[in-house]
Amino acid sequence: MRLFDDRAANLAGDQESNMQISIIVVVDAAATLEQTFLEENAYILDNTRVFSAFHDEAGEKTTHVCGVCNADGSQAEEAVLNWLVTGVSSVPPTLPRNFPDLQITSPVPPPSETTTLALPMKTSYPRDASIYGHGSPVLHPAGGPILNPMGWVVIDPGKAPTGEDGETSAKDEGGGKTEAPRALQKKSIKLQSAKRFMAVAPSTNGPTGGVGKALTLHTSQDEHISHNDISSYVPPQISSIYGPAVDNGVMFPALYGSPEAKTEGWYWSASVDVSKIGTHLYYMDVVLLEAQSNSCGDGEWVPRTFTLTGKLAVSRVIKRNGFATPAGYGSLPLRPTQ
Amino acid sequence: MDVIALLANQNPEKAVFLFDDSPADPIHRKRGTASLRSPVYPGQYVIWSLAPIDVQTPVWISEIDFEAPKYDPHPPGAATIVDQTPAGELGAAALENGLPAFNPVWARHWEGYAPLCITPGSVYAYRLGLQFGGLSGRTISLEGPSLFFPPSPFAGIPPGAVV
Repeated sequence: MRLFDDRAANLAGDQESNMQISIIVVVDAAATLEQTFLEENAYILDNTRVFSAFHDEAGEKTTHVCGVCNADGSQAEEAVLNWLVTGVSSVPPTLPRNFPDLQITSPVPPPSETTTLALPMKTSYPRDASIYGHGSPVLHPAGGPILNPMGWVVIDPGKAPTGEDGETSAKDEGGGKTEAPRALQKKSIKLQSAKRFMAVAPSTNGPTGGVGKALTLHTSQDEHISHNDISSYVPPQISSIYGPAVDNGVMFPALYGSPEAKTEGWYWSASVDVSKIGTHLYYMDVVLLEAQSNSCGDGEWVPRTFTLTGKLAVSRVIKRNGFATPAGYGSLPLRPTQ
Repeated sequence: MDVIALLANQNPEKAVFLFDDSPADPIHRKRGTASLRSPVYPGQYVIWSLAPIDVQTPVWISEIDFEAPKYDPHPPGAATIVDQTPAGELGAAALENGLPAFNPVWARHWEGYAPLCITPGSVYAYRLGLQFGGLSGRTISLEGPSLFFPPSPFAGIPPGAVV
């Protein structure tokens, strides 16, 4: 039992828990890809509104970081930021990433209006690089983290499995094989217009870099799925966090790995120097995968990087002793007793 | 402190784990439970710190309320939650020039000195107030932990005595 004052160790702050701030970035991927603009199609939520008591204007995308300082103004604690990003209509993060492959049969109207064909759509979970195909992950231009470990949902609507007899075959939902008409052979898949609703057939004259409204997928239930809808199923990812807040040493972000498989195992986190009072800008590069068709008619995923602006509003309050005195809450440090 | 379990109305015995760094006999002090008995001496410097198991859920000590000292040689009973408010005072409602109030809950530290006039064998039970972040701002008060002044360690401790 200690009989002496060991305040020196206590003031080192090693017994204090840091303020953890969770920032959720919600992205409307379909709208972003449609408008090629992210700022108005993303929302930043965090858990600082309740206890910060700041007035927060809608759409300001500001995270309030309240730091604690000593009476002499020196920093007492640092805050920690954690980012999680999700899509408005993306697959839920609770879906295990080792979900087995799915086979979805999608009838596609043929060039002639009298014959109905079925084109299999294969979704693969999760993250096998060998089946990823053409949609390679992008490297940050500044040489940032490689996104390979994250993996992506792979939907290749342009490919059809080949049967043992060499003929292109398709699997129905019951798992049996049916012989597909010759029009389904890969080599015969051609670019089609929007009216045909042929899979992986984007309009080359689209306003958005070659992807227009022509790419649609026709399901067996006669339900139309646009390429942006398919793209919105894929969870967005943050590839980099940078900007004045990082350059000025306000926060120190890094990509951390987690054994939690349901969250892909990766998340961004940053420590904040709460001695730097004020509002600081930072930028996030958000990567969306867009379903497209290449010149060969194969489906592929093309990464699209968009920039989102966020703000940190850092403020400080002097740490006080919760044991109130007749004069109010006590100040720290305490003076030793006689 | 298992914040999620507390918010889910779990028994505090399964969600709150109190420890102190006293080298005294831990058996009768219920170390690791919500009914911790911490030995202190007159003038002893005491500091409370909180570590939530789930670091993503904010929780802070909002109050430590001591009851009148009493002599109680018997170990304390199980801890209980005596008060739960759906929306407690966050301590940051007031604004001063647009900044958080004078004493927001997250800036409060809990440290002090045991009184010099405490007598051997006296027990100072206290109520631990916890405040959670989130939309509810819920508060929970926990009864059970206490400070006590054991007899002098230099004197012989009779067999069977509770320390």
